[in-house]
Amino acid sequence: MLSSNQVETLSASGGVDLSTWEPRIFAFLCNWCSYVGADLAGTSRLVYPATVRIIRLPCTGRVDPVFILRSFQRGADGVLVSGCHPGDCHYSKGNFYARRRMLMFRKLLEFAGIDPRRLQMSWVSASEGSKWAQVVTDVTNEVKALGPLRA
Amino acid sequence: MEAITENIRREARRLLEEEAVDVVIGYQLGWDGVETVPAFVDQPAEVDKLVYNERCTHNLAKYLVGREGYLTSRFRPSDQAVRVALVALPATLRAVVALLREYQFDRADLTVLGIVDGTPVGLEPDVEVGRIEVDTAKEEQIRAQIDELDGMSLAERREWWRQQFSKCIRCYACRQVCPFCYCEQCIADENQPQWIERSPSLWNNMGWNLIRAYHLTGRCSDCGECDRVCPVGIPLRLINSRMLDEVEAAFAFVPGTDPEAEPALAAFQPDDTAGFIR
Repeated sequence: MLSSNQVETLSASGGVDLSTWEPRIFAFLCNWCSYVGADLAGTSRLVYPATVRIIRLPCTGRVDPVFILRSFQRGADGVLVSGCHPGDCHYSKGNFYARRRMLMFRKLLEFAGIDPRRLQMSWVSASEGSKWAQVVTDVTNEVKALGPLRA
Repeated sequence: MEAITENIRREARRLLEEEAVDVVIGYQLGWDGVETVPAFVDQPAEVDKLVYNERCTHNLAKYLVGREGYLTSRFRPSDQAVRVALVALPATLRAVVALLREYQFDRADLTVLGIVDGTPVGLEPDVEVGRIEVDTAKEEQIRAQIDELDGMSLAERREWWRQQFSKCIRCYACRQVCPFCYCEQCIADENQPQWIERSPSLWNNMGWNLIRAYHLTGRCSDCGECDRVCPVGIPLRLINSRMLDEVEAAFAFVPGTDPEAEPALAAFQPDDTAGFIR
């Protein structure tokens, strides 16, 4: 049996127990930089929060904002898009297009009342395993502070 | 208004008699004699049904493009390509410029009968048939509503849009009326994978409406037709206007005002704003 206190906490948070809740973050990584960077973090035995679900794409230019909305619909509390540093794109300019798209999509989310911090973007190169671990830690903390995104 | 109607009829008759165009797209009175509806005139004898009044708001550029568009129809052999004369309001002119920039049709196939109001449009009408005033009252009303939304907290704004989007019945009238929704297959109609589910639940409606707004970012000509046709009164124009402002602020780009400029999201600068990127 739950105490009335617990029930109150649960209903206030939309049925989520905030004391044990961990954010779910969907990460769209480009094949050439960030995915390899995340791999390096793993082979280097770096520790970072187990909150990200990684989806590998050829390039951040492949990230259609519909993927992000769909992620939110299907249970993500935050989305992280990560790719090559500007100028390093395997396809020369995919990440430049992605940058404009994410910028505008964040504005749109904000106007619709969804905190734009739920959509994060980072540049992580193939050699930046430690940066990847840091990015995931930071994004997790930020999304955790925002709380669950309830439908 | 009468002068504009006269100009449109005169030009339409001249173009059709000279066989300079095959069809004139304009406005006519609807069945009730009050509302206006689009008119497609291909005989000089019929030009007298063309009218112009303050109820003529449709963005007729819609009829140029898409699967069944006059200039892009897949159902018409290329040797039967039509030449069109289009009665164009300022927003329609901007739409034509943006559609030309998206390489949808050939400028030579289109004769523009422009009604201008002094706002910048990146196109010189072939014939200027009239001059109207900018509806500043409407603009101020939109501005005031956007300011009101900006004054809310994120949670309040989300709740406000939740109430708006929960009304959506997914009729896609906003898509059908929009000149920029010319895709052969809309993403909302795709079902493998089904990115946007069809049942009108709140999240699905939000998915549809946000993706629609995103697909118009950097393209919208701000005609407000989506807003007008929405049967449940979702203020879609607020989102479009807001995204127009964001695009202008970020990239100094206003769709339809410069025939040379690349659409904002189809271009980039190496030094674009990157403040939010880790």
